[in-house]
Amino acid sequence: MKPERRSPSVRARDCAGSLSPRASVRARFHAKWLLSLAMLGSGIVASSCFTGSDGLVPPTENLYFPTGALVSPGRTTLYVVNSDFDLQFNGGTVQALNLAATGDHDGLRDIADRVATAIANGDSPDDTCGSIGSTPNDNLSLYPGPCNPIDVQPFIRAFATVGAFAAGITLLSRDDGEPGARLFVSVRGDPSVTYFDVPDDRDPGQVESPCAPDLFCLQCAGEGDEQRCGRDHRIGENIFTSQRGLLLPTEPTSVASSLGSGSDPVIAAHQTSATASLVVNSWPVDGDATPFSATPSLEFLLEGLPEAPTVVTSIPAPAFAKDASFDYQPGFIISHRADNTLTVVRYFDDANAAPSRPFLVRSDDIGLSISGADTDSRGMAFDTTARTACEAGCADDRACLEQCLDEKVGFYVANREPPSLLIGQMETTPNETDGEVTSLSETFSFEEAIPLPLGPALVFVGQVINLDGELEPRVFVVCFDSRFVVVYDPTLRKVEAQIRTGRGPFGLAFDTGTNADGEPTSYMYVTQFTDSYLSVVDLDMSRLSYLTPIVSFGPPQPPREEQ
Amino acid sequence: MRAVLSSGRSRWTALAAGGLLLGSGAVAMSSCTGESTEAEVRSLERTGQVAFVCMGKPGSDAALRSLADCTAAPRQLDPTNFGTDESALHLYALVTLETRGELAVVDITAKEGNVLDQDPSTPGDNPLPVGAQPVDVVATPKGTAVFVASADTSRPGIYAIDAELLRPCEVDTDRCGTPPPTLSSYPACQLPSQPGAMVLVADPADAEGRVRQTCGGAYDEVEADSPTFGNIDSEGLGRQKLFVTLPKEGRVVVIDAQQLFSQDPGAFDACEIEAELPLSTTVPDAPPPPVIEPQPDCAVPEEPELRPSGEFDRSIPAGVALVAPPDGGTPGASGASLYVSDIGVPVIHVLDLADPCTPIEGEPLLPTSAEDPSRVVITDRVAVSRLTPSAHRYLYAIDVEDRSVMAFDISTDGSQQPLLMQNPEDNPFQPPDRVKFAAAPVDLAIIQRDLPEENDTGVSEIGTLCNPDFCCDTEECQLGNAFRTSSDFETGAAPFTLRGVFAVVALASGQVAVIDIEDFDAPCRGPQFPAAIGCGEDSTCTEDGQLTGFATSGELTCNVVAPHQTRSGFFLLDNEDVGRHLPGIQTFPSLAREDGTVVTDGPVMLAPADAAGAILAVAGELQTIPPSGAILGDDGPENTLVLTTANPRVHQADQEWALTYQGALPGFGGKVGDLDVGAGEFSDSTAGFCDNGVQPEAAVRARLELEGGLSEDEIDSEAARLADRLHVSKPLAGVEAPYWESAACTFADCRATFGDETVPTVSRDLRIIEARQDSLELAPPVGTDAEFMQCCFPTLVNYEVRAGDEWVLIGGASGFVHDVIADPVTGVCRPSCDTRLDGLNARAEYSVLEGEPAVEPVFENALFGFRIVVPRNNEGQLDLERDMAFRFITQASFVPLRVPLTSDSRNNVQIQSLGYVPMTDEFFATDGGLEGLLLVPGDLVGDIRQFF
Repeated sequence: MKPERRSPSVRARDCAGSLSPRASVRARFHAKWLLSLAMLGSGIVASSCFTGSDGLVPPTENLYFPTGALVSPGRTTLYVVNSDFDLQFNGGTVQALNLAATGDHDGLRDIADRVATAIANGDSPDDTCGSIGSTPNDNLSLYPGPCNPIDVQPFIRAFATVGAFAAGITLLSRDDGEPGARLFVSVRGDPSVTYFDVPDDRDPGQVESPCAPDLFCLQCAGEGDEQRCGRDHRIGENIFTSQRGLLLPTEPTSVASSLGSGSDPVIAAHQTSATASLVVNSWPVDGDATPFSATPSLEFLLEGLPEAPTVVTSIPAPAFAKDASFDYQPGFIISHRADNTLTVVRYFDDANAAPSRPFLVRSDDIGLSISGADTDSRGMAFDTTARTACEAGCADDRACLEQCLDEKVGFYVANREPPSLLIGQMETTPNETDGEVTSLSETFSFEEAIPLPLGPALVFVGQVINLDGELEPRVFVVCFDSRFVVVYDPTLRKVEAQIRTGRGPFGLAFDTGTNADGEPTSYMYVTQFTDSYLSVVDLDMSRLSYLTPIVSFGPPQPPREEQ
Repeated sequence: MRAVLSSGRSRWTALAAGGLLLGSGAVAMSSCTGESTEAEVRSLERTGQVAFVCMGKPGSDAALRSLADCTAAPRQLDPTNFGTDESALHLYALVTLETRGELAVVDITAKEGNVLDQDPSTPGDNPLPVGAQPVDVVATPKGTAVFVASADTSRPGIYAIDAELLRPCEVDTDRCGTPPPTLSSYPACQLPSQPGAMVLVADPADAEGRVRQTCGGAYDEVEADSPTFGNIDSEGLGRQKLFVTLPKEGRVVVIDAQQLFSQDPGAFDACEIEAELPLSTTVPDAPPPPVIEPQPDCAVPEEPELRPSGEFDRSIPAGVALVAPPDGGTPGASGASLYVSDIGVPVIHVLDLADPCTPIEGEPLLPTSAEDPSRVVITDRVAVSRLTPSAHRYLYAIDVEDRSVMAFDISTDGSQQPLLMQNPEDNPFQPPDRVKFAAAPVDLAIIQRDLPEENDTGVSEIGTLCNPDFCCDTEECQLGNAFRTSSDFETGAAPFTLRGVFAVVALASGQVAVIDIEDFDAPCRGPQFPAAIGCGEDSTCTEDGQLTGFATSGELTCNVVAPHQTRSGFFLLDNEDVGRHLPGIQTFPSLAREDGTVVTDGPVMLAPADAAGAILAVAGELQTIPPSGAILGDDGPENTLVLTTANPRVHQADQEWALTYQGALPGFGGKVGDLDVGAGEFSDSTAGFCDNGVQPEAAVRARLELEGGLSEDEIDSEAARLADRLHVSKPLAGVEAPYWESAACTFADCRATFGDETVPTVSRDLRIIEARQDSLELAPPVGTDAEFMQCCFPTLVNYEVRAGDEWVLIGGASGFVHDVIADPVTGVCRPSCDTRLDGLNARAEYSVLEGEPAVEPVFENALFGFRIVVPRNNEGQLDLERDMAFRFITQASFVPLRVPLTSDSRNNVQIQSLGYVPMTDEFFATDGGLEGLLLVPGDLVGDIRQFF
């Protein structure tokens, strides 16, 4: 099967100084068509034209149209995806930034701690900013925060080059007792799901790194100075990364993963082809040299979904389903830009077949009518705080774990039409035959819609520290168009705050845990897409800086058209 | 940064919200790529709560006025126009702006320039700055002071704004030369945590007109001849106390309004809390739910495990509703009560404020759910009515997690529980104890309106009921005659004549819905002769020896107006004056085979025998059903059915219905399951067989055994006949598939036995013996053996579930209505034993035509009634074919009275709060986007005024 040929495109943008990805993609598609004609006419045809060694190498010492971000499980690393959205370079990058101090090398968290503490102590702006090598902010409207941005380069400890228009990011940790962690990034430009073997830092004191002794690593068979990821790590870009010779459809906008039994599903949503793709991740096992037994492979394409699938998120599996006597199919929910429905898909590992041919099934549709005709759904997130707390007290007591199924799991969806946050919940009901649980039914319902500022995009659930030093869940909604991150308190059922950020907030990542003294800390990292920098928001209620940006890592780079 | 603008709405609104570059009024901008775009600047972003003040000319003695004085305030005045005699009053709406932490002052009396610009030197109409996240605003009764509650995460507090600061230089020339207000321009106090809802309650003056300035203080004289700026006591309505809910702490605190108001501008000390009341977290036992008697052929819904009682973790006050006499009462007997909803504890707190300084919590109201007694019901917004003419007082509350609204009778002899609807079995689509909406309710208000009429007898009192009785000639009756529906339906009792007590509910869809509570015109809405449609007794009044009937609107149902149910938006009639609004059908049902071939001499649909004389609206024409059950059309008897009108609200949508023989149940499309033919088992964890209404053989058997009258063999036969079938719809593996090389069966043999997915054979049907949510027990296949079938379908299979030898009714919008649940003990699929749900039925058996059509079996559910009669063909066979279907389209469904706030110019209205403005007889609604403040006429007819 021939790989699909594509032509390069030009970036088109709206005129207000900020990018709307949707508008840009539409314009890009049109421009792409025109340019492709020109390219064909000149005899130049390229495959995978957003990836290649021609052209400028992307910057690896700073951010460039950052999109997704993710904190590693052990909170040692912040992974940031850079999209190269204006195609000034020949690809995007994925970077690993150190969050915690290593040796005498400060981490991002240390910088944030220093500023937050200084503010809490009432230090002067000069002293506060001087403590991190900066000066009081002279451009509050563009880069909110008390201090001018500082250089991010010292914190970038590893990088790799991928295709352009990378956005989605997810991480899988090996679940069979062995060390292992993989990062998956959806790259629209290839298209591919590019994967990296990364350090397993679940025990921060004993980090297992594939690049040992380096603690920061993005292993993707990178080549050259820019560490461009090897072909075998770009799943779906070529037929050799699929047992069935499949190619990934275009425009994988989002990616999500879940733990399976034996193999783990990674799902990508494809916004222009009404398709969801299944990449199955397998971990290496000694003595097993079967092809694809140790690496991810593209296994299935689920077509015929409602139009414009946009964001995919995994349904959190209850602990009761783990090692259960019944089959539990990991589930995912896909939102759609052009339909007022959410699609539930389930992963079947087909383990009983030989060979197994994993696949996806579209198991349910969730209609959205809470505001009448809710369309253009974007990000989604689950709040499992109550259920997780319940399960933590059960150990292996299955009766106890079954009781925990009654705990509420909040479900939140961001809608752009009208701009709102849909508040709902997931109910898990065990189905029984003769007193034995045979399956779990997961149903979804929505209760209310909270109006949001313009441009709701992604939704995240994070933890803030309350005045008693305890963690409390909050729902964070990124409103790209209006430069807000809206903070919703699910307990009080109210918007707690609207954080004014820099232009084009895109991805959020949460760094919540305890410090060396056992005290809780919590920060939120915001990728500022438009001006290519990273900001940090304080999530400690006891401080005056609560829910405000406190540090910016850059330097910010306004889009070229503004320079 | 070079600011470049496009015609995109989002860019415009973002810029307008910032008000950075544009002045007020419409401006034209050039876009990068397109033509010029006219855009109105919008100053009100994410409006929240609203308070009102009435004010006269600045500097006059009557600048501060009671709200009631603004009742006759003329509209369309310029903001600076106070009339030639300078006595004109202006009504101002004070609107919180949640995003920016501001309070906008909107002159709703003015025609233009409604949003008062507090800082003309800055582009845009600038509101007053207050603390971040303003969550509520209240004003004293005569407008002396305004209080704004700010839920700023780091500086929660209350800001007290002098009324003198509300109007800028443009209106109050005395303020020219003073700098625009800042956050330090008014006093404020810091609360211990973020506030929620807030109200002002008067600590009454004593008999001598003295007030106590503090809760523990003595009563002192105050000057209360007329309100003066800076002195709340001068309003003469007692000492005003702020009751502020603190959701994070689960308590209500009391703060003296004047004491706060008297602080220095810019102060932000801790609020002096005079009294506080931790809200109770103790929940009484839930009352026992109605007993549902178990039967052998049905399932009792999950053993009515009641919702938890006892101690809950924390109270989280949400909404408040105050009942207070307008005159403030007397010391120790203020007459005030405060109702506080709670999203942490399943109660509505009832606070006795006889002494506002000593609030006492009494017995709470108990929100419960009749559908699910185990559910913890939490409530958000609440609203309370005035004492109605029938001496009742009602409270309405939003059930947050259920998208519904509950009603409580909080009169002295009222119950603690939600009111139950009358005859809930007539509308099984609604819970019996609440009104449920598709879109989420956001806020609500209860209003009492009347439109007094005057005739020779006099002027009707508030609450005069419409009189439909021709023979009643008392003075009251004669006044009531004036409210009758006119013959042309233009005046009198009508859907939009909101004369009575109503709950008005704001929905997240941007609509406003109405629930009837006490409609003063209800007696005049209904049939002229109720006995004819079996819903009451006729009038005995005669004229010229003939019964006159009632002087009503002539609607063909007695439940047009039903207390605590949604109000109809139309007369339920079909005529030239009101249009087609009697639920009916577009055309008579027609029968066709799956390929579309119309069948004219096969099965027929007849109305039930006892429906003779009933009315059926067909394309707007009223037809009377004859005793034969078939209305005679141009070409002979037509397929006929009857639509139930006991509660017209069951007809929820105009939709296409299909009554299909052996039809496929919806809900299984795209699913796959694991088929083990040998073991007779099928499983699919995602199926939800009970939720989708599957009827196994065992369920039919249990029903037939309970009904009696059949032998054991007959029961076996009937149960097998009527059981649902699992139809394997999966295509065979392709003829070239490698599987056939090693399989024990061949493609050709499998194809011959099972057909293909387009022409399947009966062997693909497996009778369902028993069903559970995720699994089925199956009978052996017909026409083949299990081993062979397993060989032909070795892997997971796609499937359908089809009815047995009966018809299934499926609506395009309603779907397949059923009352099947999973038995909580055994897990098997059975109909619910709750008789309230008997109307949820969509399976129709048929009779064979042997001479005259049999009167049974009859299909009856909440919407329709009919019977199916099947003839034999010339070969003596029943003329039945799978997927042949009667199709018809219902029309003129019940349309609830809804007012859409969205329009072509207002694409998305996301209502944040709703209230009633009695001064102007309008409803106000605020919007979570940029639509600002909307004012809707009180009768919900007419233009919507918008301020942004």
